[in-house]
Formats: sequence, C-alpha cells, structure tokens
Amino acid sequence: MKNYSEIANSPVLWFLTALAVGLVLLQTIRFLKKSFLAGKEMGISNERMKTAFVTGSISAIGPSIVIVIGMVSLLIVVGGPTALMRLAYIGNVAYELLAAEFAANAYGVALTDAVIPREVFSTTLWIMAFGCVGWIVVTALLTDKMDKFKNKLAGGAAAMIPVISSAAMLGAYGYLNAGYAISLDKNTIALVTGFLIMLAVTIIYKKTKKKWLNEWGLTFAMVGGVIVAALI
Amino acid sequence: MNNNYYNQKYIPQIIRTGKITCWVGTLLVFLPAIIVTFVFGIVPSKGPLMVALVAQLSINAVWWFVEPISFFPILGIPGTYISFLSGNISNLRIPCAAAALKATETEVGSEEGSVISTIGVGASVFVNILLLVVGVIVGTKLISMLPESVTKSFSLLLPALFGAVFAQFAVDDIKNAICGMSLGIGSLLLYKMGLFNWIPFDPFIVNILVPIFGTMLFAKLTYKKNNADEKTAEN
Repeated sequence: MKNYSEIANSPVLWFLTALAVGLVLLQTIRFLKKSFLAGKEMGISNERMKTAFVTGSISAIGPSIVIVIGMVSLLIVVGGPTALMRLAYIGNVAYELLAAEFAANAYGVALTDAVIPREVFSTTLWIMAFGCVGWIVVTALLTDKMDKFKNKLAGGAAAMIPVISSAAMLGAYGYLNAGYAISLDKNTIALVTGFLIMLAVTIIYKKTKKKWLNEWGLTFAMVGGVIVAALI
Repeated sequence: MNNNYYNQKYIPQIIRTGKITCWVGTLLVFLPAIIVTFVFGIVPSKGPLMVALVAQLSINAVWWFVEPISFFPILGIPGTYISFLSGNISNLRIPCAAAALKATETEVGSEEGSVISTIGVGASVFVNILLLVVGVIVGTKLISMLPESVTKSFSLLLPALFGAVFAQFAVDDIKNAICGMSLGIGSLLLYKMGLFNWIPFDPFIVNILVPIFGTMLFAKLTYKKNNADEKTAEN
C-alpha cells in the first residue's frame, strides 16, 4: 500500500490551508481596522492603541514557539498543510495531537509504527474537523448574546463589570496555573520565577512609568523563568 | 468621547463580520476531510471512525461551550470571535489580550478594554501565523538540529508566561488572586482524588468552571460587602 504522505502534502491541501489562513487574516485585518477606528471615536489615544498592538505582537512570540514545536510532531503524522491549518485556525495543539492518536488506536496501530494504514489519515481529518467545529458554531451562535449573561452576573451594576471581569481573569489563571503549581517540578519553578520577575517589573513600572517595561515585561519574565527553571 | 459609537456602530459591525467568518469557517473546516475521502478515495472504515470520533468528542465537546463562556468576560465580543476562529485560546490569545490590557492600563471588561484586547489579539494572529509558516518550512530540520535539552526547556515558556500574567493582575487584586489560585489548586486536587467522577461528562471541566466562576462570585460578594462597609463608614 502506498504511503499517504504524498496526499497529505498535496497542493490541494495546501490550497485549502491557504484559504483557511486567508479567512483568519481577513477577519483579523477587518477587526483591527474597525477597532482602531472605534478606539479613535471613543477617545483612546493612538499611542495606547499602538502599545496594545506592539505588546500583543511581542507577547505572541513565546507561546507561538511552543505551538511551532507541537506542530513539528503533528506534521510528521498528518503532513504540513493539515498541521498548519489546524494550528492557525480554530484548533489547539493539544487536541489535534490527540485526534491523530485516537485515529491510530482505532485501527489498532501506534503513530510510531513503521507502516500506518492510510485510512488513519482520512479518519484523523474527519475527527479533527468534527472535534473543533463546535467551537466556532458556539461562537457564531452565542457570542452576541453573552454580554447580557455577563451583565446579569454583575447584577446590572456597571461599576462591577470590570471587577467581575478582572476576577474572571484571575480565576482563569488559577485554572491555568494549578497544574504547574502542583506538579512540583521544573514547571513549578518556571511558574514561580515568572510570577516573581513580573511582580518586580510591575512594581518598578508603577514607580518609574517607563513604557518599555510594560511592553517587554512578559518577555523578561518568560525568558527569566525558563533560564532559572532549566538551570536548577 | 463618543459612547454611542461602540454600541451602535462598532459592535454591530463586528457581530456581522464575526458571524459570517465563523459560518464560512464551519464549512471550510470539513473540506480537507471531504477532499481526501471523496477525491483521493481514502475512505475511512466506519467502525474505527466512530470509535475515534466518540473518543475525541467525549473529551472536547464540552469545551465548545465551556471555553467561549468562561473566557468571554476577558475577551469581550470582538475578542471572542477573533480568538475562536484563530484557535489556541488559553495558551496564546488570553495572555496576549491580558498583556495588551496591562500595558495600556485599561480595565478588563470595559468598552475600551474590549477594543484594546482585540488589538492585542489581532497582533498575535499575525505573529503566530508568521512563525507557523516559518516553522512548517524549516521546522523539522531546524528543531531536529537543536539539542534535546533546548527543545525540552521550550516547554517551560508557558508556565513562566502564565505565572507572569497572573502576577500582573494579582498586584491590583490580591484577595481575588488568592481566591482564584486556591480554587484552581483545590479543584484540581479534588479532581485527581476522583471526587468529580460522578459527573456524566469529562469531569475535568470542573477545574476551569470552579476557579473562574467561583472567583467571579467571590469578587461579587466581597465587592458588595466592601461597598456596604464604605457606606456605613460614610454614614
């Protein structure tokens, strides 16, 4: 039986990936244009919007490197176009690797086996599609209605909305951090070091108001956390 | 300052574009599977397909609802559309939105906040796609050239980043930060002990719902209490 890697890397699939990435870029560009315009109308200074853009860009570098490394193991299994499509469009690196594994297991093989039936590939594609379609369907159906839900949580008090939202942020990071906090390994050291460096940066910023501290703070904390955790 | 612009122009435009792009995305997401099955003729066997599908959906179908609802207070309407179409929410979009809000000293959840976090998330989309494209071209070769100790330490980037974002928000809100972290660790420990196994679907969702909505509730209760205290103090 012929290896499926030729099909997995075929021009048709590259074309579909280009369409998906194109859709994401199109939406992003339109949203950015509208946001800059709205910001101007609302009296947000150009400088603040520029800072938001620069900070968003810089902060994306670290997590993107982690995603790229996940992509490398994915592209061995499903080929370049699918790996790229799934990581630039709806998916999440953890779920996509899982999809390939479930497909292989269902055929009684492992992804590391020398010969994998080519049906594993098409099965993986179907599972990936069904697995992630729900996120955008729910987003399309519910997003515009969620403001009301949030207002209800705030009990209708406008002043409380930022308080509730900031609490949601802290709760979200309580969830994201918990696994690293209790693993008591290098991850825990990275977590705590990142936390302490950023705490110091934030306190120094409050005193000095140096803008670059704000834009680069996360990068310092991230690199510092990795170095400390890797060395200990 | 034009308050009406946000509600009467910006948000309706965003909702229109957001809905269209999401529905187009819904169709597009199936095309690779359709083409490979019907054009290239690699038809999956029904049995294994169903087995794998059930396995995958039992793990992530609940997250379709939990994630958009849980992260909505942070992302706002435009941020939710842009984040869920581009994916990688918790590991990329949320940190970028958080960083943009903090760097510009904007309140989360406010109207300004939703504009600022959308700009931050939008910027992250460009960087992410650029790095993925570079990665897909040179990735395998470059990464196989790096020593294992280096690639292993890359995985430490995320905990370091998460700790740092948490610090930014914890500084201004120590009580809620302690609450969020305790609920996060507490529910995870109880989950590991198997205390949530009675839940009919993936019990792991408890670990996100309890910290987020628990901290929101805690903030609501303590906020009311503080305000009441202030009022009595004033009187």
